[in-house]
Amino acid sequence: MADFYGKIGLLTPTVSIAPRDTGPANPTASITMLGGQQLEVPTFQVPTRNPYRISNVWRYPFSGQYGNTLTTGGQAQCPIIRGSGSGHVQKAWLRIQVQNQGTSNVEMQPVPLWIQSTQWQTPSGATIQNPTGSHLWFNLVTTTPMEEWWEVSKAVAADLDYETGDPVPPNAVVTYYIPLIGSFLSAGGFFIPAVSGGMRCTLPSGQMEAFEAPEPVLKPLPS
Amino acid sequence: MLQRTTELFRSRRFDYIIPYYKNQTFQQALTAGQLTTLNLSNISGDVVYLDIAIRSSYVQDDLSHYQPIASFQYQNQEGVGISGQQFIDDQFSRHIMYPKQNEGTFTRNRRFYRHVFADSNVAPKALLEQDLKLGAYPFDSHCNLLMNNAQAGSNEVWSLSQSSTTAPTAGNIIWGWVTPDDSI
Repeated sequence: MADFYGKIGLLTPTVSIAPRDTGPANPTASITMLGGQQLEVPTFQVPTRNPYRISNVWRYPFSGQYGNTLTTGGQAQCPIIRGSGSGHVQKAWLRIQVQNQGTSNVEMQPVPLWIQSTQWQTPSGATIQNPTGSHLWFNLVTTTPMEEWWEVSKAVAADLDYETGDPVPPNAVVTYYIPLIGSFLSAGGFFIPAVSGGMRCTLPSGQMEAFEAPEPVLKPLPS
Repeated sequence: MLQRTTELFRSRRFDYIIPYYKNQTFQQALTAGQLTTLNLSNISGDVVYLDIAIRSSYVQDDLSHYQPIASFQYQNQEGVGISGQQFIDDQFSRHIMYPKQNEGTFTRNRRFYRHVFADSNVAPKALLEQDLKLGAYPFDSHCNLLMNNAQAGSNEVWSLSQSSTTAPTAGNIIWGWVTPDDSI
């Protein structure tokens, strides 16, 4: 079949292993201590990356009318103002804080499924990516190992079986974080110095109801 | 070794890409046990993997619970299988392929069908976390998804016979059940 033409090349061995291709059995490296002493140390003890780099966490607020978005839908925008942070971005999360202003417990679907769609835009408004809430959910659950999901599930109102998580008691304020797996910010990281655009987040507008019946009084709070 | 690696990087073009999501929604009735063919007219370009999730609706539990399909196959415009020679069935997709190519246990109890076109078990994660395309099938908007819909379910029937000598003459009977791992 034409579709598998590329695999024909595999039938001809093109790789051979010669002794020069393999490293030494116990590789060592010569290093100079701060006092000037010379040492031969195993290579695994030598940092392969700059040990003086640091990481920090930055948060950018959303704007828009999102006080009733969980029941009536709406949009929120978040400009990512580079220059206020520094360096490359390695990971991104979406932070949503809500308060149960009703009188009974609220049980919600996992938080990524509250979202209808998101959109990353360049400063001029061109679309970079437009993952839906389902994309965010599938990206998260398919790339998170179980030992990590044990913790992460709490951050997105889910449980170990990918079911609804802890109910929100009346008056309680809960903060959720959605890891934006697969966003162009998270992946790669080398585009960032050129980016001063923002993210637009569209919350459900009627056809998606992420709550268990009856309808809750759950209000997103300003960031 | 280092020299060969350096030469490799110099001689090959490595593509660092932004994963771009495409979505095609079909709204139609599915008949149990029947074959459904869907034209993926919105899917073009290099596709590393495709997901199938069938929702009964977009509200409440249906957002995170999906309907089963018996088997599926992706075909090109000529009707040639591009996901393999045969249809991939529910069990093989969810319980054999998924755990090889993804993390977590999402498909243990979820009818979520992912097919990876790349010849690499780490391709989905490499795409999402490292911007690496480790293989893809070039979709051209004329490819089709063929699904054999799952057979219709049948109700489980339990019967209860009361003893003629000890049965109460009035009261209620309550059924209870437990699904400890949310099996559905």
